[in-house]
Amino acid sequence: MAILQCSGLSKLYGSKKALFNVNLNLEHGRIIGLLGPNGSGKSTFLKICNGLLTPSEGTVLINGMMPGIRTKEIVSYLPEQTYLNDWMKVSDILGFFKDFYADFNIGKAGDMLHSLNINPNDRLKTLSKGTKEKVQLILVMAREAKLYLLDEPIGGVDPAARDYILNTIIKNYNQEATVVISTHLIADIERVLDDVVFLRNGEVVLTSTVDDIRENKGVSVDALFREVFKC
Amino acid sequence: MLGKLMKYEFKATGRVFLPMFGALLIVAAFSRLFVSLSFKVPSAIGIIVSVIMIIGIFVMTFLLTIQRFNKNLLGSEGYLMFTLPVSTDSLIFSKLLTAAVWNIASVIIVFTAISIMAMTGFSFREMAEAIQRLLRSTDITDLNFALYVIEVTVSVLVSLLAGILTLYACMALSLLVNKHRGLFAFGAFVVINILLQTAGSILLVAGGVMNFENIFLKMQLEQQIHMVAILMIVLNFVIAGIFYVVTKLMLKYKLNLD
Repeated sequence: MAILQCSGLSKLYGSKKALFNVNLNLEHGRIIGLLGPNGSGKSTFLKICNGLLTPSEGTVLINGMMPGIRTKEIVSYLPEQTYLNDWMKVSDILGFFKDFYADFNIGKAGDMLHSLNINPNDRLKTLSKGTKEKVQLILVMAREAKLYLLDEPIGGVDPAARDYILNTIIKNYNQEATVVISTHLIADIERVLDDVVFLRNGEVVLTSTVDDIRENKGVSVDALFREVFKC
Repeated sequence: MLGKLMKYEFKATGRVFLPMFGALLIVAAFSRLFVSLSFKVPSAIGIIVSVIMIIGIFVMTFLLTIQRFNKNLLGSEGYLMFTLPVSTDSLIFSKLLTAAVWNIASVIIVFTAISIMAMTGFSFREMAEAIQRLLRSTDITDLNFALYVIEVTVSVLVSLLAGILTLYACMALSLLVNKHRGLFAFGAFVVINILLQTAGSILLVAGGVMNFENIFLKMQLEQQIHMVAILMIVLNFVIAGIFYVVTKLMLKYKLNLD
């Protein structure tokens, strides 16, 4: 059974189509790039998978279940926005995750903070925007989840941290888990992807494995993206 | 999970309330000291500061009741809260019960501060005894008195919950619009209050039409008091129930975080 299945998924805001008739089957153990320009519906799709938005039509099933408490236990989601409050210390938010997620590995989170030189005793309020994003990514990747949904995980951080983050993503997920990475910074993440899904104006225009693109079309994902989404 | 959510809710709010409560009690104690030492200017200042702090505590309690819901659930922190493996019911109840506790605590602390400042030494026990003496002069029994205390307590608690849920429902209804959510929530609050007033008037008129007044007037005093108290409890319970359902449905189906 696919870890994420959606059929006929649409989200309309009035007459504007944020997502239209999306059909996808994402398998276990894959790293999938959800690629598209700004406003193509990537965030909307991920929000629906997390139960943060209700679809207008169609269904999403995660491990065979509609988004709800049971799916939230196995999905680790990194939203685009920073959601950290301003009164906790880094160590407090680690404790918070430990309290609510049975699969949160606090030791792993501590190691990652150490590698990125983040002091667990710092207040979240005092962190820079980039550091907050790193903390959030650590929180998300320190979970031993079945499905990771990462919305622009490398958008706000410097290139050096970008490499560390991508390596973290590859290293820290087990072989059974699936990672969905939404981004428009394709060149940076291309090397870690197994599959790609191209979204345009809320519709899926291409789903393929990366190997297939390289072998049969003879181009990189980045080049194909530039071709498909040429302005 | 409700317990864990409330733990963090108390942590997030306690760091504001506890220092505020502590400061009021200290200022009140100093005011009393200055008064008993007949230091005129310091005692005047102490009392003025205490009064300002009391007003401040009530305003803060009200604002925090709103802010904890609006910021933690409807703001960017909502991304964290709504992706936790907890039910929407737990999220609402953790906010509601914590806010109710702080509202009650604020009243108790303010009463305590006033009784510290009042030279006569105000005590709840004396007040209860005074009320009891007053009631003894009528034909109300001890059993009835105990029932009144329970009824009034329940009535106050239910109306507190109904009040907080009204605020939550107004904020949750603002999910229907994309812009000017604060203004919309305020408008919803005004409209809801007008509707509740109208509904109240209609109930009164309906009561008049059904000749309820005559039945009521024929009852004994103690029955009348029970009647009013229970009616208040039931009405507030219904209001609380309606706004709870509105809040829950909005959060479940109309959530749209920026």
